[in-house]
Amino acid sequence: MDDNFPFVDKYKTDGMFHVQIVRAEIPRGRIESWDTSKLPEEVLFFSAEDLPGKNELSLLSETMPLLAAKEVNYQGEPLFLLASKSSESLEEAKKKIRIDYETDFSLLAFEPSSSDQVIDRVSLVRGSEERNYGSGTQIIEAQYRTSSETHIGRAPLGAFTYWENERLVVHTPSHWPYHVRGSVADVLKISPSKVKVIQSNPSPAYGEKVFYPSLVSAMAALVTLKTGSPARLLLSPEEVERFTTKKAPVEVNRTSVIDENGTILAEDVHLRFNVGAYPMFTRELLIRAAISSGNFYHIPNINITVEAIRTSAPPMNLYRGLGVAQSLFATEVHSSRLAEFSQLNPGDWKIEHASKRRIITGSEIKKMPLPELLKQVLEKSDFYRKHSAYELTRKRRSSIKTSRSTLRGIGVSSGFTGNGFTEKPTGDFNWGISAVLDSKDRLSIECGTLNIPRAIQDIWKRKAAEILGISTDSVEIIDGDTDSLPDSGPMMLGMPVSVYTSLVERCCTYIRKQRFHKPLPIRVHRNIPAARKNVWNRESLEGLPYQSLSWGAVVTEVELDPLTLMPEVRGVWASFDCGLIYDTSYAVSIAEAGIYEALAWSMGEERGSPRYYQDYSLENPETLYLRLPPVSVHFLNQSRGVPGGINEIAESLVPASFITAMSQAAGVYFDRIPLTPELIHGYLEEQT
Amino acid sequence: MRLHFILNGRYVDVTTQPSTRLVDLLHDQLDIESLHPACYGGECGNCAIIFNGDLVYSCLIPAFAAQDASIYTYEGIVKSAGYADIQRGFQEENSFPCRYCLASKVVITQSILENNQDPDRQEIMEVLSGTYCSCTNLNKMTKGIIKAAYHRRRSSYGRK
Repeated sequence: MDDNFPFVDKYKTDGMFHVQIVRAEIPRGRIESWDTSKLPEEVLFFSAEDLPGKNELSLLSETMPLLAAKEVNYQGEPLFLLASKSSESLEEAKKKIRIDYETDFSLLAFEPSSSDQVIDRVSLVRGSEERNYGSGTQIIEAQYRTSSETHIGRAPLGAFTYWENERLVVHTPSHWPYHVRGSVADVLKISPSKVKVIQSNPSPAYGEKVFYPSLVSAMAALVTLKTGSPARLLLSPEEVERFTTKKAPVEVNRTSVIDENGTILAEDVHLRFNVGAYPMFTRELLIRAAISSGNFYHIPNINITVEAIRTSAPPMNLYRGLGVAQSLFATEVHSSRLAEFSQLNPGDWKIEHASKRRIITGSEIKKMPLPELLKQVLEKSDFYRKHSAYELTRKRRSSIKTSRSTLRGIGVSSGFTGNGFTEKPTGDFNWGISAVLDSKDRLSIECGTLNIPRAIQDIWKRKAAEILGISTDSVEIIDGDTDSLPDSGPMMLGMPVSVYTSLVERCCTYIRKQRFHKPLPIRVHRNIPAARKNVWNRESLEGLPYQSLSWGAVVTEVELDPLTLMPEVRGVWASFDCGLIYDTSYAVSIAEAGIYEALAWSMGEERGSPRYYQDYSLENPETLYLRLPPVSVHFLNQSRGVPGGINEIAESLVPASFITAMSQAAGVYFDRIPLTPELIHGYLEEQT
Repeated sequence: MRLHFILNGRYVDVTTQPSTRLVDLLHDQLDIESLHPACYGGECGNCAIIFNGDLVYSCLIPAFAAQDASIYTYEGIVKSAGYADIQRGFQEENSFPCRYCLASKVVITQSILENNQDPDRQEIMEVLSGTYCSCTNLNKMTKGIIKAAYHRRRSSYGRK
């Protein structure tokens, strides 16, 4: 294994304390009292009262408690900590704590929910709110839903803390080590300079490695502070899976007014996200979802409202895609429906709208790639012929039950996702990258988050070598900790490939200019630029919200077995414009992985047992083998622009094209994911 | 109970409890760090080992079953001459998995190539169905294994 970058469970030392979290057994209530008198002597007990500093974890102005002081807001919420030098004694010790709750509280449900549960709201309004357009117009209303998605918590998540030279050292698999440093310092009420964070291996991750490492690090650090001994807190796979972040479920209501030519005159969109008990990163999620609800459609009168609903579930917000996949799903399924009501081919309808060259926030796109992407993917998938043929078959069929052949459908979706945050770091958030060119013409790049994928490291090395005229072997990406590396912010949302790459370029360009004017070594640091008012206004949601955009168009063809109602994906065709691509083979691999992930989510697979590409042979029905649907990925304009994220756009567009294709195959409007055979059966029964 | 077996070509003599799983014995007592005891249900595949020539998930096997067995893990495979073929195949197809599941993917590939130096796509898929990691593009991984098999065949004829 790569010993330089071990996982957190490899850290241990003699005499260390093992730490475990005592979690709430009830989903909502108040802690009345607790009794620890039966705890063995060797087991130490910590509650919120033992915290010297703040009992909270904050993330971009949103907070959640480290340990519940009185109120319990979800089942599994951390209440207390137990520490012992023997890990075996902790499980038994947990059973000996008696907690009395006052449970006279009603649960906060998502469906239905009350207005009191709305903890944040974002509105994006353009044009008039008048919706009376008279005769010749159609009003189309629909509701869409997506469920939660849980990752498998297999990779270790935890923290190992100890004192070294009067400083607290923390090993944890964080995607944002400086957030760990700040959180530990706040909770222990010590100076951040007294805390050193060394990143352990954080791969793979779905979003849970952004702030949960800060939470467990603060807990382990408390034990080290109180005892003076090393402490290790490792979450069990079950804890990671049940109590860390998930993809937030959403309910979307869309009402559209279209004229006889299929032009959208006005639209009202209302999204409600179930964000669980605490709103971490919720504002960013809402803004991203609002932008994706408008997508690239130029609608003169639109009213988008996105709400975060607080419920009694564990926090569900910071997950890959951050609201975009759910929002784009509803937008694109609805747009295909509007095309159908307008009696237009969905491909043509989307190309027509893409020609407006604007996104919902009003930003003009000078080189709009979408019409070309759509044309490319429609042609490669033979969309027009297949769509017409399947449509004809659907209309001629009297009932799905009497159908003797398999049912087929094809769907298309298109749109964009953003790279980087909509909140440009300013003030406290000086996220950046440093570079040093030494006297031997060797360049060192310092980035505060390690575990940058190899392909992205290659991009940086090539870019730097190209600008400075040195060999790629002379460029090194430095390992380190919070003492030696700058704060580069959290590694997510396409940041490494788009945002950090442009910072590397800026550092190298500066060094090139100074190279023969200043003595070597030359050190330079570049921060992510703050937002300029004329480019993006986060309050009014106007302008270009992201550092760069990744564009895509996806066609999915499906087949539905009328007997088993088991869908099968016959093929996926995808075209993307994600800016500059150095390594096409790697980019295709990332896109394919995103497409397979999205198919698994769309078909309701439990991660780890993907049914959608399993098959069996009739000769030996007990043998299951994997059969991946054929995927064809193409890139446009891959030799220009800033590199952009690929995985998110691939993952976000597939669900809508899959559901649209399934709707055509079955002749029923499906409006939710995941779509399982059981759910298809329910829809068909409802239809008859 | 006392156990002795061959681990990565070396004789091992160890004492453990009858209820211990093989993955825990290897990981906790014998410091085989490439194994990730996580699901304990044979779902994730991150504890794959070669046990008497067969690919098995060590979380599903009691430690006492290892008596007199021959066990190979990632640590043993990387020291073998055949590892270069696997590394080359993965590199050429850009199918290197993340650091978390790299070890299990290497063990799986070695197991496939030990049984068949010209595996087809379906055979590879069948074996890969027992593993899961979000980093893995199974399509790419299959191509990587086929390429590794190609290099293994060439190596066995003394070609580079």
